[in-house]
Amino acid sequence: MLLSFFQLSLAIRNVWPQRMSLKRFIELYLLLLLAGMPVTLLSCIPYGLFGILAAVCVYGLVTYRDTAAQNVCMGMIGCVLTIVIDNFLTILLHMLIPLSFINQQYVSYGVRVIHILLFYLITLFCGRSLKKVLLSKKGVLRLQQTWYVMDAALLLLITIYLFDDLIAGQDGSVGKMIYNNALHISGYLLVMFLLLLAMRRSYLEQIQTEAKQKALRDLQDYTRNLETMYNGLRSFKHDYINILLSLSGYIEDCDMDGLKEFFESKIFPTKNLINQGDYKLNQFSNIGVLEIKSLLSAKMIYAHESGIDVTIDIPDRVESFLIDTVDLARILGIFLDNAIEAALETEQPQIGLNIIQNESGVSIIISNRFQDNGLALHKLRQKGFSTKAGHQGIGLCSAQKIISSYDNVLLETTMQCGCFIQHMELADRKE
Amino acid sequence: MLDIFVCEDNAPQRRSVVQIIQNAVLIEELDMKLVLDTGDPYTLLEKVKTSQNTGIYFLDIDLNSDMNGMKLAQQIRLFDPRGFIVFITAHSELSYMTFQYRVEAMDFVLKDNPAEMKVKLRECLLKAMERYTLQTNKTHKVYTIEAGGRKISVDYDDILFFETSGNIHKVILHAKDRQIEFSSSLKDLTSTLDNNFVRCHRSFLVNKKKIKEIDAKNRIIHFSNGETCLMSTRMMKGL
Repeated sequence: MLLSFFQLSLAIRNVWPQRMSLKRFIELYLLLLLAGMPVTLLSCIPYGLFGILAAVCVYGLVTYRDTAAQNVCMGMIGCVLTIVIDNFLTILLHMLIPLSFINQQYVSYGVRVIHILLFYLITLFCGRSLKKVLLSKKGVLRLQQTWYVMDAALLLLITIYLFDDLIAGQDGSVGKMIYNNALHISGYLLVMFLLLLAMRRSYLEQIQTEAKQKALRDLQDYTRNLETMYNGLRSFKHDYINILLSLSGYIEDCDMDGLKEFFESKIFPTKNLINQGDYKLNQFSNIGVLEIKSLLSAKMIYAHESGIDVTIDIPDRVESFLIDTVDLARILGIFLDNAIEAALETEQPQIGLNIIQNESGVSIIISNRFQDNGLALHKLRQKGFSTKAGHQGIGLCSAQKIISSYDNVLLETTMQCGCFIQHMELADRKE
Repeated sequence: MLDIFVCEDNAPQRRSVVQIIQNAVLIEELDMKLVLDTGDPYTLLEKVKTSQNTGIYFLDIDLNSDMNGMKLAQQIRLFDPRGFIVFITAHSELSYMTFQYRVEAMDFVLKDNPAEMKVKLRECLLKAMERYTLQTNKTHKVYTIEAGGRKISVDYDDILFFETSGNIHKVILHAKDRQIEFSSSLKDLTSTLDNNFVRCHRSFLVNKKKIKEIDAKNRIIHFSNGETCLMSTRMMKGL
């Protein structure tokens, strides 16, 4: 009795998404015992199993909050795995070892030990491979929603079989029974799989339309700003002609002193007019990816309007950023938001954005001034750390996560001389 | 001894730059001499090719030639990889970052304010001298990371430890004010780095010289900047 619960916890441990410490393992074991014991002792086994299942789900939800859905799913897979492998092993050992042998006490203990060892090895192997496939975070598996659906599907599958038991064959033959059940289960799984695919498709479409709409809005801002810039330039052209005319007036009169005064008071200051950062926006014309262009211009316009000295330099045409655009937009959005917030805390806020096309990749450098409060760099990476009250500190952490998932992205973070720099190197995959 | 080169196509401006530099060298008694001032980038390149010393280069970006300051700097880098390059320009809209990135330019001086330019040029000379003496006095072992055509060099002495990332193909380098996440593995690193780097845990490779204290009871290693990493009992012996 205790042993089978031990086996169950062992299997769950092997398929668990995180590494499970011994303490946690014992916790799980006790919890399972607590949930399963009373009902099982009253010998209504299906309901006992249901209690265990509930316990696994609760345990999955409570521990490691951020992967709760994965935990529940893996826990349930662990339960199924236990039942299947345990039955399989029992039958196998029965077939291999003659019955007369088993009745001897030593042999029966030996068989028990071998049984558990084999069970551990098989679940370990299954767990490893399942984890590799399911937790790779590729494609739909990255979405929380997928995991919810998978949880629901598994829960439904298991409960159906717990309460209904197996479907009997019509004429009571075993072969018919296996056939019926296999048909039933595979049909059920197929439907679930199709449902998952359909969901994935609609979800992706939704994301794409949202991104497109956002890009369009940002692009409108960008155009509006370009128009204002152009108008500013036109009025400057107009003024420029007036200035030339008045200059020629002084020259015709040979009034050197007047000319000098006029030049220093009226003309020299216009250099500030030219140097006002507005026209830096035209640098964005070098970016060939619409979503990124609109995001960057929106953020930079916002930064400029908040009174930050913005430097933008994109000397070459950049056609592709070599990683998924949605991911890149998320990363850049987080980095730029952080940069703007940090810069605004300083007295002379400054932000720099450089995008450079190399032979074998693209470099993106985001730099900003920050108020040096003796904050250590390594703290920033931790989840749940934030310099601002009431914020959760999720941004930077999730950006790091996305970057980590790409093999061809290098991230360098430096904090020196009051300057915070995020340097991303996106390399060509073909290297 | 550092050689000074100036390349600026506008003759009056060149004279004023040369004047400022020579004054600064005299007043600060720097171990430098002006080798060449010219408006033609090709003359400068010829001279650099034959030069033996490390140079400090003051370059204009618009040179009225088919070669601009950036290309010139890239050529200079081929012959004098450790030289100091300073750009002098009226283009305030260009950002210093691009130049620093492309040719490791030391600084970027704006022409539009003569008084400020004077101060900046002097600072550049002093900074170059300081770096030059540092370079020649110490020989550092340097770890170089290459990615996407970019090379990042980190002194062994600056590295605190390496840590595995969430992605199995990547590791994170921790230095005092710097973190770099790049493609490599701790196994490869252990074989390329020297004996000061010890594997103390499945997912950590530490620089022995940088450890502040070891908490053997809780199996935690503390570093001077407050960072910590884990160690395992099995790999503790190496420390």
